[in-house]
Amino acid sequence: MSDGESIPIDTVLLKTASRCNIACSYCYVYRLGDQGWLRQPPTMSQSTVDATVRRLDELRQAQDRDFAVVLHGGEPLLLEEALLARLLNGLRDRLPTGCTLSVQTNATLLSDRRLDMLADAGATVSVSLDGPAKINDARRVGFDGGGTFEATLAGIGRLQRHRAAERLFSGTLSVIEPSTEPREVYWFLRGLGVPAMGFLLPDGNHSRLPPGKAGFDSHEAGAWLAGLFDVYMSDPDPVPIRVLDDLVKLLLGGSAAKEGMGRDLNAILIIDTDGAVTKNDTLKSTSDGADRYDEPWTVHTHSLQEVSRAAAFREHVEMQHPTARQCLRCPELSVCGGGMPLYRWSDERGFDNPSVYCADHLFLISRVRRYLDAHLPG
Amino acid sequence: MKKQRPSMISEPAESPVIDVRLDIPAGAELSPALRRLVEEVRLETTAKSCSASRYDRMHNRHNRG
Repeated sequence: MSDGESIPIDTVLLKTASRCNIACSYCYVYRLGDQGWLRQPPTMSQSTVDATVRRLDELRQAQDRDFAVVLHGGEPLLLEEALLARLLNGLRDRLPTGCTLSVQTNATLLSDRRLDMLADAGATVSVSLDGPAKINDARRVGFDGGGTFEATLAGIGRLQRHRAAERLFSGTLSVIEPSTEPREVYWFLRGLGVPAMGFLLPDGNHSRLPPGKAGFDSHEAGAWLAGLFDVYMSDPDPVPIRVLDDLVKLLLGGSAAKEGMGRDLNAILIIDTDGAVTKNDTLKSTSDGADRYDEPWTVHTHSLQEVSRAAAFREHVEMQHPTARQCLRCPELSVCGGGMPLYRWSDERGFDNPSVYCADHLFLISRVRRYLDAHLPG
Repeated sequence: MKKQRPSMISEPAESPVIDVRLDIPAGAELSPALRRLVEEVRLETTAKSCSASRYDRMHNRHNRG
């Protein structure tokens, strides 16, 4: 495949730190197939921060649309404060406000000073939290094995007390534990006053089943999300739930906001702590180095427009569309989109499989369809 | 490992049953969440407008923590 027209970039994920200050049992960065973090600088250096800001400025000038910038890790706030300020200020000074800035954090390092920096840059904060203490602390633990709930809640408290809390706090992101009660998780987060909720499926694939999944034909996570949907629809003052909103919108003829659902392709660039441009970092869960391009792209040596024009980048973006015959024949492909590629992996057939969550998708879609049929006049 | 086959990307199945019912009759009792979503899709599909969900402030499409 030869290089050609550039693909507009939608989201740029900056790995400001390759390490984390906690040790969640399910983390795709450290606990599954990839060990790339061991080869990375712990955090971005000043030269990588500066090169990243310069490359993103060039990219925005070259492409006719805004993109989102997400600070991510590891734990992104492990980046030392002076460099965090340099990065945020550089991005805010050089990018239009339509290019949103956000950070995905466990909130344990959310000091007032860091919150001020984020607020001054117009950034938003999404906090990783799986639910009440007993659910969160079963998997989101520190290196001593102790729970992280209290530290995360303290961070959320600081966030909610900040002068710019209304603008800063964008919501929570939780990994589903299918053995728990969705009602309990929803009402707990709602009680915290979070402005929106995101939910993720536990990582895994056909060769290494996700935790809580009995087999390819089982639908534990689908049933959990269906339970969450029931709670959501019955709440007189609901808090938006991204994954369910996307599903309903797709079924009504609209489009999804997040990757992993629907048919839209999302062009996402990842920049690692050494400045390397990588594939979608979630592929780390499949095998060591699965998120690496063969090309030696880094912000120190290559423009991001050059990457966005490259055949290898296009091939990676198009990988979001599944290739398995079962998917191509499935009437629900336009809704589930085949799920995220990481879930399609098997050691034998690579990504040429339906999602390991196929039965979950079908179960949930069926339940939501029935609800829409019953509640929307035809 | 099998590589992706870009030639097949243009051959997706189409859902035959997506049924768009976006005109809510007066008096219909919908859940607040569903009413909001219907309105957002109606805006998206008719006015080509961006919906105004709270979380659109962080419009990144990366679906990870």
